[in-house]
This record gives sequence, C-alpha cells and structure tokens, in this order.
Amino acid sequence: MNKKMIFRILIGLVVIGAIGAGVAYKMWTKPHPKAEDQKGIAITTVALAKEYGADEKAADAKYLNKVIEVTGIVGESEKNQDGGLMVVLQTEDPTAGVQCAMREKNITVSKGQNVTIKGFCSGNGITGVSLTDCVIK
Amino acid sequence: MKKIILAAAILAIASPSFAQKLMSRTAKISFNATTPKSPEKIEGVNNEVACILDAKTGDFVFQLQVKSFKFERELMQQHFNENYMESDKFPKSMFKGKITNFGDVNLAKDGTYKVTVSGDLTVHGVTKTVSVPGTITVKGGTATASAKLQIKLADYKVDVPSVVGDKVAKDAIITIDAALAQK
Repeated sequence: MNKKMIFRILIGLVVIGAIGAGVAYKMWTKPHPKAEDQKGIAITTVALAKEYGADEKAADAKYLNKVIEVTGIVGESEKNQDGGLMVVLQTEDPTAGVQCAMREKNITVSKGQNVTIKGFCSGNGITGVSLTDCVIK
Repeated sequence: MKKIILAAAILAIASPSFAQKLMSRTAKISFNATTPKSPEKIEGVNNEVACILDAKTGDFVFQLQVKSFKFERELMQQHFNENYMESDKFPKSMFKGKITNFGDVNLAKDGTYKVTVSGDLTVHGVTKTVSVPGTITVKGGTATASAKLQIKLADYKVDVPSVVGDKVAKDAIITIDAALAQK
C-alpha cells in the first residue's frame, strides 16, 4: 500500500465519521412532532367517548398515539400546576369528558363554546379520554 | 314545627359538610432517572394525571397515560415510550389504594397531615403492593397531596439495556403532586 492509498482511506474514514456524527446529532436534537403538521382523524367528542366506552382495545388500536381532531362543547377548564391549560369537552357522560391538554399556556376558551381541538390521543382513563399536546384548530 | 323538622332534615341530607369526592385531572407526576454519569438530566413530567380521593373512606386512585409524559428531548421521550415503558402495549399506569391513617386527616380543617398510602401500583403491566409516606395539605377547601417514592425499574420489568449501563438510574424517583378540589 502506498502513502496515497492510506491517505485516501483516512479521508474516507473522517468523512464517514462526520456523517455519522451529523446523523447522531440530528436524532439527538430532533424536535417533538406537532399535531398541526399531520392530518388528524376527525371525530366528535360524543362519538369518541362512545367508541372508548364500548371497546377500549379496539378504540386504542384506532386512536392511541394518533393525531385526532375532536369537535365538542367546552364543559370546563382546569389549570395545571405549571400554568398549562386542560380543556374538558363534554360528552353524553357528565363524569367522563374528553380531556385536552393544550400545548400553549395563553389560550382562553369559554364554557359552552363549540371548538375543534387537535392533539395526540393518549388513551382512556378514569376521568375520560385524553388528548395531549393539543392546539385549537 | 313539623315543617321546621322536615326542612332541617332536607337541609341535612342536601348539604353534607364535605363533598364525597375530591379530584383532579391535572395532578403532576414526574419521573427522574438521572445518574451522575447521565449526559443530561433524564426527566419526564406528566401534568395530566387523574386522581380521585374518596373523602369518606380515604380510598385513593391515581391514573396516568404514559404517552402524556413530556421530556425536553424528543429522542428521550421516544425511547421512554418505545423501548422502556412500551406505551403501545401498556398505555396506562395506575395506583389504587388507601390512606391507611385517614382518621388522622381532617379535610375540613386547614393543616398539613402526614399520611401513609398503601395499595397496588401498576407500571408497565406489572402490579406490586407499595406503601408510600406522603403529606396532605388542606387549605381553604382544597387538599394537596404530595409524595416522593423510588421504584426499582427491574421490579416492573423495565429493562435498561447494558449499552446505556450507568447512564440511566436503576431506581427512578417519582414525585407526585396533586391539587384536589371538590367536584
């Protein structure tokens, strides 16, 4: 092997290393996915709650971790301990609303307002179906 | 006279001094598995925890969606969901138990009460009985429940691959903070 060859191999290794480091850096710093960048499954809060009430496993297969767009009437809202807003949309069951944890803190909604909220479905719980990282459409 | 007694009876039934259930949809649970060797803090926060305390019996339930934990780094959040907690398979974690010394707590009187909560904790599909010390702070009609516990990830079959070794703690510290209100 002559010197030229060794030099080329070295350059090659450096380039591969740089690409690898670039890819790793990109993965490490990749942003959170945003609901508004994806097409959501449109559904009413009443229908969503009914599907989860009837068969949670089947509903999870359809909605869990997917972007959904729920339309419903604001029942109440609750501030969390870090100042974030949780908007609860009404369903037919007064004890189980569709809970939407909003991404932005300075959002205002009023009770009785009809809204469409887009977010990631995180499943069903004791106080209703949850959506996280939500935005108002 | 009869009317007064009747009215008093109705009043007594209709307005119990304390609603039976205290709840929150926005209780906060954070998860920390940082070690001195971690390249940066490994911490996730869930501000969407549902929590119900039965004000008569001291029955206490917490439930959270694993996917609602937020990490600063998306990659960490993704690994937490996909590799460690397998949140597609086990979307929820839950605690169902009781305040064992509920008799010491007076929800109608402002103060800080030391409590012990015992019950079943289900994480990653594995249920274990735990007993956790905590406090309940009552102030003007709201009760805030706080606790801190350490859980061994291996107990809940959460595998930390040997590649990351000492960069992820074997025992995670869980901090709970729930501001409960009458509903």
